[in-house]
Amino acid sequence: MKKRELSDFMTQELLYDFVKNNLDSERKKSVEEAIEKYEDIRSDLKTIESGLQYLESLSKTLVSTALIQQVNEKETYFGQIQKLTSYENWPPFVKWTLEAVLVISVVITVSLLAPWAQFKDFVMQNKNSELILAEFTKPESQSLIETSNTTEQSEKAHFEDEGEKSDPKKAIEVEKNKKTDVSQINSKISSVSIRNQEETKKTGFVYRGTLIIVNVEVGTEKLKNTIVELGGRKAGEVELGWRRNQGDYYFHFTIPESKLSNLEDYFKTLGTIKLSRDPHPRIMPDGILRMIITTEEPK
Amino acid sequence: MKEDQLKHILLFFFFVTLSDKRSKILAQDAWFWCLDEKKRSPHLEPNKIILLSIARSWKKIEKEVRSGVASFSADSGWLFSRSVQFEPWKEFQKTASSEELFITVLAQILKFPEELLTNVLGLSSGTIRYRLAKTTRTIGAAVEIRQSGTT
Repeated sequence: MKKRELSDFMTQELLYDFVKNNLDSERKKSVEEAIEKYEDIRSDLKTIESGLQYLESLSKTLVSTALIQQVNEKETYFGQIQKLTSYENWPPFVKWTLEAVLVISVVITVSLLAPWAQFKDFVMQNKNSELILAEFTKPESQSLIETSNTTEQSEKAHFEDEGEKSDPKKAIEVEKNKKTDVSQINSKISSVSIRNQEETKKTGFVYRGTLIIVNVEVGTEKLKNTIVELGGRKAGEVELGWRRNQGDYYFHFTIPESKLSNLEDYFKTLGTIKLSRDPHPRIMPDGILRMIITTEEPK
Repeated sequence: MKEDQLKHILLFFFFVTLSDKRSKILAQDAWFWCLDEKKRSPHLEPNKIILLSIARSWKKIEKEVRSGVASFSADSGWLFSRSVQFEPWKEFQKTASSEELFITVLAQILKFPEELLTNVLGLSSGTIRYRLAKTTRTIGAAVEIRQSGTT
């Protein structure tokens, strides 16, 4: 009968029993032959022997008498309760539930007690600072073009009043009665006086005039300073004494009524003026006059 | 039941938990069960009762027994050789399946006979040998790696 040789797989499976001496003589001989023949079988055998040797050393572990007695002692009632309530002895489900409840409680407590409003204010504080995106100034040529057209309509568009009261109804009335008022307005007297208190209360007015100055540049500058000293302030968008394309200088300002006579006297020191008082739908506050004066060289 | 038989229970729980505190608590619980069982079934052999107690406790703790960090010391009452390195066993205790860990401690460390194990645990000898062969190879490989690393 031909001897059957063990395969590598079978030999490896039988190695443990071989080491434990659990094989019959025939199989034991076959395994021995395989061990001599194959290197990996020998290596595997060595591994098993190392493992068994290590486990053998562990099996020599003993327990002290004191420990045995300690464990053998009957637990006191308190000890039993302590053991039952010990966290380590709790079922895993209970442990997980308790941990989840603790985490949820901490999250809720933090969310309720934390000063979120203060935190938000602190964060938003830095964001609330004013941010200047760009500073835009009109170019000079554009301003000149805009101010060169000093018609009533353009004046109306640029005029920024300081405390002005607009009265649309009275504006319509003024437009209707314009023809009759014009004859009253075109007087060429040097001194100006308030004609009718009742008439001025119903509609506003603006003083217009042209001041002829020999040295217009110097005179304009002096006039500008004087107007400011008397409490005058620009009423439109352009600065006092704005030079127009025509070559004259433009003053659009408000001045206290009490300073009107002083201003008239100063006009006379600079040159000659033709001043008129024209009705205007815009009503100025009491005690404030609005004036549009141009200064130019004598022609 | 003799106190000397208590050491098997103590050692079993020591090697599966590697924790002084937990092994004492589990061993005490299992031991008192053994004492009660002996009163209930006086005809049973002590080794059989011990195995039954261990198997009963193992069913309760096998899923979470390896959680936690190994914490033990010789001062707690464990008498092992100082030359023994516990690292291969720690590694095995963490990575092996619960069945492999269970049978390896009972058969290879506590030296319970194979016949008793098949009788009490209801496992075939082939299953026991297969598991033991596998775990022995695993532990042997870990030991060889450690030895080759230290030399």
